[in-house]
Amino acid sequence: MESKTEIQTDLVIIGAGMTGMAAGVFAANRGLSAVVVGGAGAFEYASGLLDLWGLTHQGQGYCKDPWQCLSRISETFPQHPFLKIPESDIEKAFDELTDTLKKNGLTYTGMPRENSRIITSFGTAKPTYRFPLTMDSNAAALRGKKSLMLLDFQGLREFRAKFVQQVLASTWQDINIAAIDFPQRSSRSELFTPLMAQAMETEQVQDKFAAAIKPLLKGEQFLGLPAILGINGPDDILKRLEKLLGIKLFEIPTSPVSVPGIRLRETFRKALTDTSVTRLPDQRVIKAAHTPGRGFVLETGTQSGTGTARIQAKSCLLATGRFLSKGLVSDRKGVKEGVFNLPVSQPTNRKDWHALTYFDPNGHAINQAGLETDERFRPLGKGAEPAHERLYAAGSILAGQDWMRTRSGAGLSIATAFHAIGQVVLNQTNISE
Amino acid sequence: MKKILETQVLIIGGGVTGTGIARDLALRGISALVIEKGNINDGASGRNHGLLHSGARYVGSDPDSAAECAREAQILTKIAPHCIEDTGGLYVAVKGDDESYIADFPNLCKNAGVFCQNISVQEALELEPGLSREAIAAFKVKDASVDPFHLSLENMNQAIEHGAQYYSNCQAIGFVLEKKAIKKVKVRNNLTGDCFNITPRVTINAAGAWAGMVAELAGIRLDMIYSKGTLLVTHNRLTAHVINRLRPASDGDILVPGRTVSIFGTTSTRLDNLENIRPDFHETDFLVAQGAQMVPGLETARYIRAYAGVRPLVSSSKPKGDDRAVSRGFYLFDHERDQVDNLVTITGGKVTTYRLMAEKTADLAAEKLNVLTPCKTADTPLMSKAPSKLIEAGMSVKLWARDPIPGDSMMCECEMVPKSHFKELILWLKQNRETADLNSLRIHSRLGKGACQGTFCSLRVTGFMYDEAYIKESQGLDNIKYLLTERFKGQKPVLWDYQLAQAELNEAMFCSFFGLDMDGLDMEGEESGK
Repeated sequence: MESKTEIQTDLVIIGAGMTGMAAGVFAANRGLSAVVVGGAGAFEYASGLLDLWGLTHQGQGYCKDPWQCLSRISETFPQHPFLKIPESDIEKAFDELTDTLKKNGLTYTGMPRENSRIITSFGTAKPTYRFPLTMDSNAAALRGKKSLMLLDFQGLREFRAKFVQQVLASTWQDINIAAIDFPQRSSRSELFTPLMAQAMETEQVQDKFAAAIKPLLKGEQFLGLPAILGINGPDDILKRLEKLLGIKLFEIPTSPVSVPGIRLRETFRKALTDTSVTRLPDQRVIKAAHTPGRGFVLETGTQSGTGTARIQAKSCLLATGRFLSKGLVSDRKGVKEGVFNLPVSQPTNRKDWHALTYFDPNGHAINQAGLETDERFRPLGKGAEPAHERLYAAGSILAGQDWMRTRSGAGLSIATAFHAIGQVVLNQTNISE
Repeated sequence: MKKILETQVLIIGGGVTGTGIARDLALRGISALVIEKGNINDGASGRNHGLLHSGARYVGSDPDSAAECAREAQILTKIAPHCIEDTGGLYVAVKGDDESYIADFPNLCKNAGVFCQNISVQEALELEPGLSREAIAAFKVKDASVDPFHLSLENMNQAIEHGAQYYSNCQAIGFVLEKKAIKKVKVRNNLTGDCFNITPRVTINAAGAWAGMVAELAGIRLDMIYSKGTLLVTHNRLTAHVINRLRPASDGDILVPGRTVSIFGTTSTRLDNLENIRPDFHETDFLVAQGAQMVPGLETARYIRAYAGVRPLVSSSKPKGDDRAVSRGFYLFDHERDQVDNLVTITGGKVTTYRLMAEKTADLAAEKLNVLTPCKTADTPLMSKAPSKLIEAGMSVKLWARDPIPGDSMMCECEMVPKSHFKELILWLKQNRETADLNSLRIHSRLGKGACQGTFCSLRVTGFMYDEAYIKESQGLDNIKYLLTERFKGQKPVLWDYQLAQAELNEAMFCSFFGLDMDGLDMEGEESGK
């Protein structure tokens, strides 16, 4: 039987990725009644690192002080969403979000106002602002280039220690490799990082794991391994293993499927439990309508068509992301917005979407396409006016930014969600007055 | 000491013709050496439909070529069945197409000796439900699908097994002429920059569209016409048969299934030079619109890449004083007439007739060497011992399922290629070729050719290559960067819908996460000072 749920809420957040979930947290912390609707697939692709701004302008070099880079943002991105947010709000947004994550068992760390660099599974150094505690020694080890043991698992395709070691070799010679069989591996199946991480949550596996490694250590200062230290409670697993092994341990983020990304998803879920924010995971928006002066009516459903819902909301926040998550949809002729068919700022011709070469230092124009908004993050309609007085947009769907080439993905999500929720709250107060 | 290589015949160009000549000569016991400025099939040989022509396409314009295609297709089907998929073909006209051509078609086929059979539109739609409801006439023909990479690899591998040599990335940069003959050929390795000399008795210019430039090294002028043709590759196979538009040969009228994909084309654009052979946006949109008239699914299909090749045409079909061109389909020049006795140029033609082109060229070379051994290529199976079967889509997984190896794991999930197959290929490349990098793996297997276009397989295979110490230091990153750069050229014109989303994931991983766009960032954490 088909069941239809009727929901009335102050705010509906469309999209349950980094932006939607961060917005959910900010709404919950303010006691705002909200519903988050949409799948959360993108977390499996997320690095789990919270970037703010990682590269300097033009030079494309490592940016040590992201705040200084942000102060010069208008030189290269005159329409950037960050330009609409006071710097202090960006900082507050990061602090509030990482506090909430920490309360729910996932600690993020980093230098006070500086970027750090994290070794990836390519042996490259990724600049980032806040990173999981399980990668604290990753940044420290890379800074000091002290003796390091890299741990390899037989048959794990997503992480090869030798890859990391060889790429780092020109500047860091003191790296050894030890290989073990992952405890609890069924012989025929492929090793899969989320399953390894789950297995690592039991003390029995941790003990076996430690026992297998201990004899291989030769007095190194650090032990690096792919990010598999549990989905839940990674901080405790890290501490326990460090104690068992007597060595500083750290995780190295790998290519998808990404355990640190899944951790974020699970921690967000936890953080929103028993709050003023309801999640409707797996529900996708099928129909959306809005009336000027009034609110929004959304019809949602699962892909199989069972369990539909009708949501009436006073305000709406679009956090649907870009092409991969269908916030933006494209065909040969152009780019459209996926829910309300809002105007999308984009290059006139498809031939201008991409530069001639893949690694063009200026990036690809299509990645700066998106929604233009007013100062309060309300997307513009056909004219220069907001499409609806209480429709907001946040995250990567916004125009005028290139989160991939500037290493600002999470920061964009967090800061714009923070700012948009602030506007919703302001507007909400106005309504009730 | 400068390296000097001796050979009876030097072949310039590693396309299907050049490798076919090498095989032909090697089977006659003549020593042959192939130099290729890039890699096997970099030119038109690797940038066509992969259509084994029944000949029906040319019955109106060139009945001789049509008959030649029909004969050669039969020979190739016999000697290289593993490179060919016998799909059969249909010729289909839709509302608005020239009705007099439809009426003439059966007779034109008959006169050229090309099989065709009239079927009802209803039958055609039953055979191919994807055809347009606007179809008005249909014929069955004997078209098939051929993998030109597989052909060339088998040609070269079999030639090597019979004593031939192959040098990739090596380009002829000069001829030393003495007494009306080429005495020495100067060659540069384009990867290392090293130069060396080859002293052949006969030189064959099989450089395809680049034949004019090679001839110029001997002071001979060949007026080439560069005609660019663009093709699109779909994510899924759309039809079982080759589908041809029943009208005089034109643009956007052939859809060829190739194992798991379909290839649609083509266009014809004159180029002034060979510097930037890229598919462009107008061509892509034009093709989609044309194709949709015949197979409506082409409008909404997911395309994974586009590519463009250049047909090597010679501006005068009757070159001065040469009568050896057996057909207008290809051109064979004995440059004795140009006062260079030991230089031969072969160009033009099509994949279907490459064997015949190689035979005629090798005949001429053998005559110059006074070797009387006849050609054996029409009767010798084209089957080498090299692992070239891995080039074939769907083959890896078949072999893997038949004979699984404990502990083996999938490196490429789009095309289902396990680690053991890459290992076999790397070992073979190490033994038989100078390089075993990601790009050469791509050439010899399905790596990077599936839906993800290299996003996941490239990093797994690179990890494996580090493990086995085939590469070291930052070579793996360079390999991946090169692969992504190369693959992007063909992706750019078809990046919309799914493939645009795929490209976004790809950039998020390789740029945002792995930082491959950050050239020169030093590990000390300082800003790169250039």
